Amino acid sequence: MARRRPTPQALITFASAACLTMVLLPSRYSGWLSVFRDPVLALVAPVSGPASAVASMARKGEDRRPAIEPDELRRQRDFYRAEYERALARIQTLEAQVTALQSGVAPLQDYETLLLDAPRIGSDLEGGAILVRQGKRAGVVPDQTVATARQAPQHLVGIVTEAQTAISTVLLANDPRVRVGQHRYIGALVLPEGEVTPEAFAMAARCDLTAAGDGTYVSEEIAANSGVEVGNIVHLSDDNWPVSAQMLVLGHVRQVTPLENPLWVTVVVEPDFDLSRVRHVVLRTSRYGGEEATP
Amino acid sequence: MNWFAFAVLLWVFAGLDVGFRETFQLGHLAIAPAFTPLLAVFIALWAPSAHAAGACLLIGLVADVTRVTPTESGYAVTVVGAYALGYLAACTLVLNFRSILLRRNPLTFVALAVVFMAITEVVEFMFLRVRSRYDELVLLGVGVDLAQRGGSVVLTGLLAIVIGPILTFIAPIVGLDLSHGTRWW
Repeated sequence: MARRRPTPQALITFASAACLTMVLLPSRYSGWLSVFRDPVLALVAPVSGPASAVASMARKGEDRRPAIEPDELRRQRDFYRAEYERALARIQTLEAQVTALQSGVAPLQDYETLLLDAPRIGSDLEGGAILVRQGKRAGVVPDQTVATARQAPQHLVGIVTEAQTAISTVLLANDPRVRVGQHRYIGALVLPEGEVTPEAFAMAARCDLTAAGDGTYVSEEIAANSGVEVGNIVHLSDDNWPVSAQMLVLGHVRQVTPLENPLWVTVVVEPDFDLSRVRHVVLRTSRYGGEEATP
Repeated sequence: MNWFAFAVLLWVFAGLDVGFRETFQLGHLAIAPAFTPLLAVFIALWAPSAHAAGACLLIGLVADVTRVTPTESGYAVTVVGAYALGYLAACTLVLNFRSILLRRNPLTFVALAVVFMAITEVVEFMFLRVRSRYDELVLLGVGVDLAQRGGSVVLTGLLAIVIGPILTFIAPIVGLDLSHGTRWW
């Protein structure tokens, strides 16, 4: 006897019931469904990649970094090179001390940062994220990998919230839904532009920023006498964020708003360019020295 | 319906949604026209009923897996099924009314694109809100979310003015017979 084939109506009813189940299941039970995301995105990448390139050309993000004269650049380069060499010398001295004290056994593991160049292949506007072509295979770890712009390697773009085999999702740092360690605030350090002395570094104002939803960050109330001025540069300094994100640039102070109480002000920080329009990113992953990338 | 040609179209439209949508984005808001609902509307208008429903379900599933939702723990999750059910619901509406529509009138396609996408967005919005009651999804405020979705619906209607004639032109390749539709004049 011939077997009865299911009718199209029955198949669609079954598929709808399956969809209803999947959509209502909590993430801990339905998380495995994201395995379909990687092949689908890899499949559409030959269309979305060039389309994204055209989109980036059509709408270039505004670069708000102040134009710097060559002389100023040369002065900054000399300053940081000197600082770098001083730091290297100090590291060598400390390493020698540790080796002597610990009989060759290093008491602490040093972090190293894995850097990966990742072209953008698309965006998820509703999710506040961009998609980039690097994934778990290259060592990307969700929640531990942050993205910086290739045009400005020290400027934070966002944090990887999902990594498939070859594709990762970067949630933009200025999206109101960013959560790192379940915290929505981003600890920041505000420094003046130009030369930074150890004294200025130690005295720098700290504040907690949150995404305003219009592409900027807004601070909690901070002391009016903290010395924060329009044009100051703002760095990420928050233990909840991965080591590779520390001291990355969040942007510049665009506005200092006095509050009713004259002792307090709030600060608006604007990224140096439109984070959602970044064409290429560099993914930075913190890991212990010598640790292999996850296959 | 030629399913291979449909798969190629879906591939192109999904790629445009992922890569090209952002060109038309309004400022920092998630307001931009979508391409895949237009393909779904066209299929729902002209394909045999069972084919249309299956194709819309498939388009919805692709829309689901190309999007993620942030969570409290810092990770993002793929919510599979929300758009699929939205597309199916919208397709059902089109299938019920298409016999009395002036299907070949370009304005019909534009108007249906708006209604179709509005239904998909409302269904997805409702499922995400329900799920966020017991899951750790991080969603935007209701007002902002609805406003952004509404903006995208309007822009998708504008995009339909351009995409409609293109889809009509390539309809024979997809195996859709446009000759039996009510004439537009």
